[in-house]
This record gives sequence, structure tokens and C-alpha cells, in this order.
Amino acid sequence: MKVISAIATHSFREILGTRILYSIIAYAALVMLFAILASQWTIGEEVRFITDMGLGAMLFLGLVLVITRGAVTLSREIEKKTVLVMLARPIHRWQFVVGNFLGMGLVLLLLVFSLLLVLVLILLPMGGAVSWPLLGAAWGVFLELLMISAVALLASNLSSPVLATLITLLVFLAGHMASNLHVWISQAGDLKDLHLPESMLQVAQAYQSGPAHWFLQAAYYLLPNMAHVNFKMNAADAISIPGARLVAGTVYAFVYSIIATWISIAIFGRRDMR
Amino acid sequence: MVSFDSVEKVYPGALGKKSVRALKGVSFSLEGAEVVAYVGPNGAGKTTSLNILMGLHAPTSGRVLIDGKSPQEPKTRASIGYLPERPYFYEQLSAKRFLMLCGRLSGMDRSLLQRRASSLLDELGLADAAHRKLKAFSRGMLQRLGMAQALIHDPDLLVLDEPLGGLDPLGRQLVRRMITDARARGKTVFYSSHILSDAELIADRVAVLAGGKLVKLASLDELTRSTEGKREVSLAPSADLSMEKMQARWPEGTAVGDVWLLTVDEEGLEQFLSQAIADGAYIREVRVAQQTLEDTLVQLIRGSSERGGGE
Amino acid sequence: MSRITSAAIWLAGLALLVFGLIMIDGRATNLHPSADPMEKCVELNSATLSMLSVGNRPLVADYLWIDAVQYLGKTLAQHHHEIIDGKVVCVGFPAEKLDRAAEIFYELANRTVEVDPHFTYVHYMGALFLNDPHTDPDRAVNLLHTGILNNPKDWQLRFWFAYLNLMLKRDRETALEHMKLAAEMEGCPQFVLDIRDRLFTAPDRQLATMFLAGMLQKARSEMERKRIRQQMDELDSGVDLRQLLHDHHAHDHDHHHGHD
Repeated sequence: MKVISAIATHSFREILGTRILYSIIAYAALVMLFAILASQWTIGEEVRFITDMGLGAMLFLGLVLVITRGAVTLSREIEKKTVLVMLARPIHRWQFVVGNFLGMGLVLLLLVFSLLLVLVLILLPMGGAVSWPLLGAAWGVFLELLMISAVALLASNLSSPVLATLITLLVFLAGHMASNLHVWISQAGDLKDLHLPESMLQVAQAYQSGPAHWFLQAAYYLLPNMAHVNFKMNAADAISIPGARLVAGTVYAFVYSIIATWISIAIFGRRDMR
Repeated sequence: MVSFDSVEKVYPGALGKKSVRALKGVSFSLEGAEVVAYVGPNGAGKTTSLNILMGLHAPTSGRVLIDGKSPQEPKTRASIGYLPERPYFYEQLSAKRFLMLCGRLSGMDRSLLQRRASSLLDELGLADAAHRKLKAFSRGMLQRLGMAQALIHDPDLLVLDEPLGGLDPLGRQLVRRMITDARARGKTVFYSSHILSDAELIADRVAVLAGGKLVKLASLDELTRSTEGKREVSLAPSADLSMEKMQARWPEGTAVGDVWLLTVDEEGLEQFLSQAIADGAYIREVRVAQQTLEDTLVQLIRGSSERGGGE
Repeated sequence: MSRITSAAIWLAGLALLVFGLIMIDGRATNLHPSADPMEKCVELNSATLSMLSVGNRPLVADYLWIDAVQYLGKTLAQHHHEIIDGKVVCVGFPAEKLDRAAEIFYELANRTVEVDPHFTYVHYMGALFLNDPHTDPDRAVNLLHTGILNNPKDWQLRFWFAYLNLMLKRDRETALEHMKLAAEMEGCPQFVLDIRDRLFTAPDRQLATMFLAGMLQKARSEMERKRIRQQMDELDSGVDLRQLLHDHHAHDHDHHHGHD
């Protein structure tokens, strides 16, 4: 535990640097700018608009951080041989991976929390309030980033930094379509909810059984279903998030992240550190 | 303390590339307070051996044991200090903080760690830079810090990959002194190097690796002794004896400028000289032959590649 | 490595530029005199937009709503009615184009609530602007009806729905039903209860004034307040504009027939 906390603290500091500070300033400036513009664009819905904008920017900034730092962590450490000094110490490799992941998670938590603070400080004078849905949505953003950083860690274990970044981005995008994929492969009746054109509906119906069905099913479970932790709609429309949904989303995100880290450990534990 | 037992390492070739046999059955052992230099040409497998020794790579066959335990067990590594080749550390950290991290990972007590980090930084001339971020460090400073992290937990075995690379003369002297100091405190030092003059200064034994095979492991004396009792004779051509004729007469010699250079045993020197004079050679110089470690190694490595040329 | 990185940066830059080009192209297309937002609606339906938003559905709704509001500012919010010589004169925007403008705005508002069904302000505000004597009254009623189906616990939508039923459909029963429900809901102000109690006793015009006064009290934007005041003014003039327009239209129609 001492080893993991030492590595986590270290990787937290290493990622943090000065970058986070810049992100927060950029974010605050961005949201402020939109806050000023918003009153001209929307009529009577400034608070909602800034909330949506703020949560969207939070996710975006987190993603940038995960991709620029997380997706390259391991491959960069291996490339620059910093990892050799660490692994030559009396530590297990899994401790190194877990420590790195926790460090990243800590940074993301700090990022989301700080940005939420900035957002609230902008919203309060405009008549906004610190509501449970807003806090829930921010928590959801954190969970989403956590899953993505677990994927990034895994990807950086498998390939070069550039490819790892690409894989991470693709998983992020696909993860947001995972719920659509789920409807595609589940009951045909639900397909009507998708409002698909007739031609696509026929294609979708073809995926209801057989090997194609199993393939898509596997793809669905491989991807993080971001809809489980997406509470932005609740924040926008001030609808309380059912406790069960919040808990389920949280558990899902943690389990998914643990699985991805688990696989990372297996790969990292066996590879030769060149 | 350290034993390599017919260690082989094959890196599988990915995507149509040929697999590489980096080590072909290397065996040797290190014991007690000694400094062993690990030398050989580029690509001989030195870094691979050290990586296997540190448990960073797994051997394809054979085994490496440190005090009877595998280095892939974390506990085994507790008593090893390791400096990788061209070390590069986390650039956001300060030197002090980096040493603290290394010490913590080695399970050191905080107050002891504090003291040890400060004294090491002092010893290595990094005290002024203790709180500077590593991204501002020069190559030589990083190399010295690398030494510090390898020594922070006072290990019994030091494994150093090119510890003298990237250092200025002063830095080299400093690191050489740290290596000999470690030996004086009863530690085993195993280090790889290209710089043979340093090995001549500090090594007790030299292990020569070429083409993935251990060609020789012998004491420094043994490796340089082979030149004892030899004389170098320089013959200049004369009207009676041209260069071509000398070459035909003593084909074992070599032409150096306008002289023909020969190495002759001390016992046969008198006879050789009178014979040469009789043949009409002009003797320019006779001196004691001095073979450097470098000469020996070049011969050894050349010999091994001729023997193993088929591979 | 550095070559791959620079190639990646080059590609990303290119992608960004292409994306920017597409965005600018979209804006430029809108500036064409023939641009019709309906075309854009069909091109990018709400499902596609939501999928492209990577989890930011509310933001897509906001974007669509901003689009709708901009369109509104250029059309429906531009005009007011005056009665000159017993005739309804539309000032600020050609009357004959109002129905088409309302149709497009209605479409945009519907897209918005398709993406975010709980964006109640769109239902509420949309219906306010769709309630215009020159346009089809069903659109305002429909927009509010979907709003109530999506958000059955919103008192404001029911309150406004009751008003439209009363004034446009002359359906006092439906109005009462929704006023009763509205009165039971959380956050419902006192004036809703007052209007509910007087629904069958007070004259229509007085009720309408009470409704509009209540709405004015809860209005969130200047545009909204202006629109409500405008409707109050029209009410004060004592003329039922919709009836008057209908009469004109019927008269013209008869006149036309007479010539045949």
C-alpha cells in the first residue's frame, strides 16, 4: 500500500505540473466568454446554457488531459526509460500500474472538482444554484474520464503513443454510441425508438441474431457505455438523478476501469522493458 | 552472489522481422567485494544481460540468481542499486524529491532517507541543484543523479549500465571514486562500459562479451600479462633489404610508416637481432612491448567473431 | 517517432481545418437569401446530432434552441398588429409570410425538444410565439401538448395549455382539467388557484388578462415580456384579432365567389 501510494502521489505530481492550472484558467475564460454571449443567444435560458457548456467543456478538458498525459504515460515512460529506474526497485509491476492509474484518477478528480467550482462561481451571480443534478453530472464526467483513462493506460501498454492516443479517442467516441449499439442488438421493437430510416431499420433487424449479433454484443461489452454515467441532461433540465441510476453508473464505471487496469497489469507484467 | 547460468535471450521478431538472439548461453558468477567491468562492442548483449539481471527482461532459457533468488522477485531487488544507460528521469521532479521517491520505493525510513539523500547530493556535487526540476538538468548532472539513486538505499550489489557515459573528466573521476569506495565498503559492482581506460583504472576483473557470448572473464592482470617478456623491434629498410623483402622474410610483422615492426620474445631477441643484422636490416629501435587492455580485447573479439563466423 | 508525430499533427490540423470549413460553409449557406432552415433540419436530424455530440445532448438542444431563437428574432418577434379602419394591419413583417415563419419555427422547436424532451422552456416560449392570429393555432397547442406529455409535473405548461384551450379552442372543460392539475403541482403560485376558482364565473376577457398577468410575473426574458405585453395590448383594444381576420378572410372569399 505504501508503494502504491508513493507511485500514485508521484504520478499525480508528474501529471499535474503546471498544465492543470492553465486548463482551469482557459476553462474559466471560456465559460465567462460564453456567459457573456449567452444572454444574447438564448432567451431566458442563460443558466441552463452555461451549465451545459460548462459540463461539456469539463469533459473536453479532461479528455485532452487524459489523451496528452494518460494515453502516453506508459509508452513514454518505457521510451524514455524512466520506468526502468522504478521497476528496478523492490516493487511489483502491478503496483506500478495501479499507482499510475490512481495518480491519474486523482488528477481527474481534482480537475473536475476545480472546474465545477469555477462553473458554480460563474453561475451563482446569474441566478444559478448548486444543485444535486449538477453535482451528479460533474461526478458523471469524472467517472467517464476515469474509464477513458483506464482505456488509455491499456492502449499505451499495447502500442506506441500516437496509436494509443488514436485508440483512446476512438473508444471515447464509440463509448458514446454504445447505448445506440445496444438498442441495435437488443429487441427489434426498441429499434423504432431510434427513428432510423427504413433502410437502416432493415439492416438493424438483420443483426438481431446469428454470429453478427454475437459480434456486436461482444463489441458492446468491450466499449464503455458512457450513457450509464451521463447525467448532463438532468443537470440541464434540473431533474433529480435517481439514486439507483447514480449508484449503478458509479459501480459500472469502477468495474469497467478495474477490468481495463487488470488487463493492463497482465500485459505490463509480462513484457520486456526495452 | 550473482550467477548467470547458461542464459539465453531471444527477442521474437514481430511482423516478418527476424528474431534476434541477443545472448547465447552466458555463464559467470560474481562474488564479494569486487569491481567487474562488462565490456564488448555495441550490440554484444551487455544491456540485455543487465536487464535480465535486474528482472526487467525474462531470459528465454537458463537462469540468473542473486543470492540464490530470482531477480524477478521484487524482494531480491531490494539489495541492488541500478543505473540504466542514458538515464532520463521524471522532469517535473526536483533532484531531492526524486531521490526521496526512489528511497520510499525501496522501503526506506523517511528520516534516514532525508539524511542519505542530502549527503549523496552533496557528495555528487548536486547540492546546489537539489531543488531544481530535472528538466533543467544537463546530461552529466542526470548521470550523477542516476548514481545517487542507485546508491540511495546502500545496496550490496551495484549494477551500472555505462555509468561513465556523458560525463566530463571531473565527473568521471567522481563516479570512479564512488565505485571504488563502494568496493572498499564490501559491495560488488558490475558495470558495463565502452571506455576501457576506466576499466584499467578501477576494475578487478573484466568480462568480455562479443556476439552474445562471454569470450573471457579474467582479472585485469591476467588480461594484460600476456605482453610480459616481449620486445618490439623496428626495422628500417636498407640497400640490401627492401620493405618487400622484410615482409617476405617476417610475414608476422606489420608496416608502420617506413619501418617494419615485429614482436619478439625476450629469450630469442639476441639471436633475432644478429640474424637481422646479417640479413642487412637496419635496426632503428628496440623497446619493451606494452599491450593495452584495448589491444587484448580487440584480439579476443576478433578471434571470437572468426570462430563464430558461421553464426 | 518525430515523423509520425508531425504527420499526426499535420493530419489533426487538416481535420480541424476541414471541420472549420464545413462549419463556415454551413453559416455561409444560411446567409444566402434562399436559405431555409427547414433544409438544415432535414439534413441533420436530432438523432444524428445527438450521436455526434458525444454525450452532450443538452448542448445540442441548446444549439438547436439558439438556432430557433435566432430565426424567431428575424421573423415572428418582429411584428405587431394595429387596427386601422377596422382592418388588422401587420407592422414590421409581411403578414402573408407569418404562417410560413411559424411553421419553420415550430419545426425548429420540435427538433429541440426531440433532443431534450425536458427542455420545458422551449414548449412554453415556443407556444407563446406560435400564438399569433395570422398562424395556425394548432401548432401552439400541439407544442404544449407534447410538453405536458414529456413533463407531466410542470405547472407552467399546464397553465399555459389551459389558457390556449380557453382562448383558441373555447374549451373550458379541458382548461379546467389542466388548471386543476396545475394547482396541485409543486411550485405552483397563488394566481393559478385564483384563476382556477374563477374559470366559470369570470368573463373570458378578464380571465385572459389574469392569465397573461400571471405569465408576465413569471417571465424570464425581455423578449418574452415584450410578447406578453403585446398580447395584453391586443386584448385591451377590445378586438378579437383572430375573429376579425377570419371575418375578413371569409368576406374576401365570398367576394371572390360573387364575381364568378
